[in-house]
Amino acid sequence: MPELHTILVANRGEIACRIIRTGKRLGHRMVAVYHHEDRLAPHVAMADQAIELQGAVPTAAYLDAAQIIAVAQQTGAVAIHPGYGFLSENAAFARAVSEAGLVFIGPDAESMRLMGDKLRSREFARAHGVPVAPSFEIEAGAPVQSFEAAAQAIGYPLLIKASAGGGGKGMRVVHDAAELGSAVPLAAGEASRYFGDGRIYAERLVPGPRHIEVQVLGDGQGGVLHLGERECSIQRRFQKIVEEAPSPGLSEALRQSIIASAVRLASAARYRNAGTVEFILGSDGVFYFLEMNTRLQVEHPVTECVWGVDLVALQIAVASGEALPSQTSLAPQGHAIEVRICAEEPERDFRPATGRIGLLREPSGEGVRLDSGIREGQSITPAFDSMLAKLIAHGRDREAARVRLIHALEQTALLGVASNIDYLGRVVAHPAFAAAGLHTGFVAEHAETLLAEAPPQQAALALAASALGSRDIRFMVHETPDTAARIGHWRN
Amino acid sequence: MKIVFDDSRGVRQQLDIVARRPVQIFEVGEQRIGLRELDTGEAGRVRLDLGGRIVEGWRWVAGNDVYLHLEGRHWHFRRAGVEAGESASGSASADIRADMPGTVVALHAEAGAEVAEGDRLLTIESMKLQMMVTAPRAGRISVIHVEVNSSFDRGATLVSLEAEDTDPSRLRPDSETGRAKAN
Amino acid sequence: MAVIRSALRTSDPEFRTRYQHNRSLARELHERQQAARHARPSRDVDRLRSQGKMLPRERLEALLDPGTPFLELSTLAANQAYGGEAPGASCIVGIGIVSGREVIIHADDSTIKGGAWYPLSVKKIIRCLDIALENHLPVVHLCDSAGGFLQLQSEVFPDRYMAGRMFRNQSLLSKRGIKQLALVMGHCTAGGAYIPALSDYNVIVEGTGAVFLGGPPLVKAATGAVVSADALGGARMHTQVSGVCDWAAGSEAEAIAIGREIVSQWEPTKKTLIACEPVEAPLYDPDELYGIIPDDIKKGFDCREVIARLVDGSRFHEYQPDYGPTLVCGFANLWGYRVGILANNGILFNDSALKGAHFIELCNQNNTPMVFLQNITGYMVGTDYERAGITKDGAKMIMAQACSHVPKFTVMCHASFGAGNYGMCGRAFDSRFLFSWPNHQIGVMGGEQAANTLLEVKLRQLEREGRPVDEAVLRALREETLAAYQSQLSAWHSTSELWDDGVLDPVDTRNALGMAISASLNAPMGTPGYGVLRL
Repeated sequence: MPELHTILVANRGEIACRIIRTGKRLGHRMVAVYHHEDRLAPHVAMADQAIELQGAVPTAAYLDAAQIIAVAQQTGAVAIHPGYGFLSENAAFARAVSEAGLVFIGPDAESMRLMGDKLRSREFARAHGVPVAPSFEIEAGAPVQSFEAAAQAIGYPLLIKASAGGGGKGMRVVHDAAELGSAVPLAAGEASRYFGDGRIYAERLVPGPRHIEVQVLGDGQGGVLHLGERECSIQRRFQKIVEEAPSPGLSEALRQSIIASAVRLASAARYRNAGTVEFILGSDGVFYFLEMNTRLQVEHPVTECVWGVDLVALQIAVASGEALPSQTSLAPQGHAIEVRICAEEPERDFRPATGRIGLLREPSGEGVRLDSGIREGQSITPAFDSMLAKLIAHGRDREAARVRLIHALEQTALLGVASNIDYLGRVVAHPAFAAAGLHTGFVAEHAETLLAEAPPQQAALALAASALGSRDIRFMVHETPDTAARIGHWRN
Repeated sequence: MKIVFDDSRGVRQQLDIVARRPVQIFEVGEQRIGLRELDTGEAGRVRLDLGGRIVEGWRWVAGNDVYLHLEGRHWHFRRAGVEAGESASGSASADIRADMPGTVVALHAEAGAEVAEGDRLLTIESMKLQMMVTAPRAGRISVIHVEVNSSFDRGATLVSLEAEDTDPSRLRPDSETGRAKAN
Repeated sequence: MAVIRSALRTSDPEFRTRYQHNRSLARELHERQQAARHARPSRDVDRLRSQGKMLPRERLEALLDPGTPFLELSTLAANQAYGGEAPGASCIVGIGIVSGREVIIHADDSTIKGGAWYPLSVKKIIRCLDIALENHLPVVHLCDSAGGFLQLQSEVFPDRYMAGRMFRNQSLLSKRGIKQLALVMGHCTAGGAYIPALSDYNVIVEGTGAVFLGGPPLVKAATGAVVSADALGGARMHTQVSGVCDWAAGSEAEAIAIGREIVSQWEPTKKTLIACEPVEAPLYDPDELYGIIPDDIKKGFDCREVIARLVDGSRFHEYQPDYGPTLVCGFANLWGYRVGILANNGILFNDSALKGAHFIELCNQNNTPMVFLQNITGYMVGTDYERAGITKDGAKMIMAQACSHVPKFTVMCHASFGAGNYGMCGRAFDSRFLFSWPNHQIGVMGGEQAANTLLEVKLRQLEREGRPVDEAVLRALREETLAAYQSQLSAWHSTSELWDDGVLDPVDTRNALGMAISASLNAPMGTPGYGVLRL
């Protein structure tokens, strides 16, 4: 019987399924929680025990710390895995969990607080030799003249960010000095509204930026294992849509430099359990610390494929007090690329889609992995985040992985809810992607080609094939008596 | 009649059937498609013979929506035009009448209350059987004509709902179709 | 089966003259049909639009399946009657495909006097229902009629084959399991109310549809009560209270959609199986028909040239090719269906009449439908022929033809005079469908012959009375007779009187016959048997 014999997963969707799968494989008893709207979700059926949470709004249920802890105690869970999002980076929750005598599978509250505050974490990074983009804090309500010079020193265009923000939200580009005066109060207002903290800062906008992050695991005593870097430059409106490991086209020296910075930071923070240090790399080869996420990331599967590890298993091991594997015992092999399948309509500006999943055909094959949180018959509502599943392809090199991913995407059929599956296929098939011309403006730069319409002949075939699904049209086609069918349209 | 669908961009497409035997030939705008649908024996699976070239895919129909996965691509079309089965509107004041004589056992709502379709209004008893009378549509109750223990005849009005605003979109204001003249 | 060898030379001046003549006749047909179908005073169209109604032909197109044929019957009914105020006899009848099913459609044309029924309207609707009965075709009624045209009530109401016959036919259709659907899109008053009531299924449109035995004016006159059409017989009342109507539709388009759904629920008909082969288009161009048909009623043509441009692959297996040459008989395929063809190449003699009778017996023995291509001016007259028994030989052909149990189809290709009409399956002999070409003339005898005969009679009379003969008067008399006769002989007249099921452009004949044969196979063939053949 493992030490953490019963684990409650305080999450939903694909990550809940993924955590439960590893937990059961390792012999843990897994407890799921769900809101009524999620009662048919796969994670509920997968768990050994599932308890319904009360919540007026579905997301509120998964954010109800007290209720979740109470359920853990009621079901005999000794540990809670928070997944990502929801309460995973909530220091108060981490503290409440340990105060309730339960193990929080993740870092301690202090690390969360440090890394959750963008200004503090940047300061911490700088203090430990991790490069940080030039920036300055903007005092609340300060007149624009007071920071005009500082802005000039950073140079335009610059980026205004919310101190308590993250996940790509609460960011604003300022193109020149003229915009500065109006942009700042707007950004402050947004930060207040979204994050409950109006503090903002301005930062240099890096040219042709690439988003590079490093997966780390700390033992809480300064010992840090790294599992290489990931490239997450393909983003839309600051949301990652395609991620891969390792980063293509990085010189070994640069790679090692970035990894070393990440390890240095995590070690200095005496970080415990899994985390990701995010950097931004300019086309000039200069990289800066962005932030550290004190949780398991959505795109962790690419690291798992390349390094041959199970990160959830490692998280549980660390939380159980086990030692981290040695750095030398692990080595990366091959290349992995992940795409995020979301319920959205790319042709309608990616607006979220709803509906019922009528038919689902999943891809399979060597080197293909699907982390899914959906099943046939499930209703997709606006209550939750639009991400449905992650599709990952692993190959001996980047091109092998890329080709495998394209085939897997073509094989994937999701009918009943609009999704970005075809769009992702176009991204991965794009020559610029094949050539690894990656930067965070990729999607915007190639927007037109990526949204290109299908050839009219193909669209016409699709319409005819679709129409034959209707009973009355099938009647009209097949029941018509022979002679009338042969004569076709005719009037005398 | 015309077979009309809206595609996922909301653009209206008309499908013309040009030929039916021995192969089906369809026309969409200027595109002409010849095909023969082959039996697959599997629900949702589609197999088409395009004059020698076979393509396979998946298709799922939900009411007026058709979803298709063909040649590695997703499609969604919605049938446009009037469909049979849309019931005639009962948008004027809905009087809920008794189908048979009986007595009122219990009331579950009061005058002025907003009710949703299917909400319980009253329990009646007739011929030794108790039945629940529910709201045929959402609305506000204007009058309850009976009280507990009162008797009523067949055809008697039990509850009246307020008249709904006539929603013009329900009468499909399409110049192609005939419109019922509001009387 | 051998291909007919055509002797036609399209470069011949005769071909060219005939071609021009018949092309312009076809053009005239299309113009007349266009006018009958669409030319309406704008106030009548506006009235319909203001009532929120669709035009009758819009309803028709919305009802019919896309990419399917529609064979309209008797488009030019009543074109020479009632001063031309009732084109098409104010109704549309035709065979089309609805939800994959072959049906016959009757639609009142409310753009003409509110769709009122003239005597010829009633005749046309009865003919529609007779076709339904004989061919077991389901019926779809699109009802929108003001009822019987009161000014002509004595020709609409009392007799055996007047209005009541419609309802008698409806009842028998239902008895035989032949389904009827009525879409009430306007008023169904008095007798008209029976059309939806006697239909197995009906749908009524809210606001504009109404069914009542007595309309508001009648109710006011009878009891003094003032009530609106909708309150008296509208959709809500009939679907919720009286049960006279089955479905209420919010619009005409919805009614049509419901109607199509209903038709799709009907069980598919088991068609009578006859010999059938893959379809081939005729080898010769049907357009050449214009150059084959004469430009004068007294002139003839080789009927084989016509057959060659109608049948599959222009293949024809001629029966008794060396005997009775004035009647061409043989087997061919038309739209794949095996048919027996009888076509005139001159007047009928003893041998041609006998050949015809025997061929008809062969077709009945083999369950082969027959197509009669009429171009007949009569039987041979004279002592020798009478002594040889031409009267009983003609009678044998009539007996065989009339007692046939296979479906018969008649096309009036040119002349149809006198007794020849009978043997060749004229109107009285119940061909399932009978069509005319624009050049067709029909009468007890030809115009010239009639004029000459009447002149002879007049001359004899004058001689008996001992009066002088005035050449000018005689000439005038001849011209007058000829003119009167011509108008009665023409195809426009016969189609107006519904002596046929419509005038066809010759090039449309193949399609029309194909649809007709297909429709006819919905009914089982009758039982074989003949009366006594006077041998």
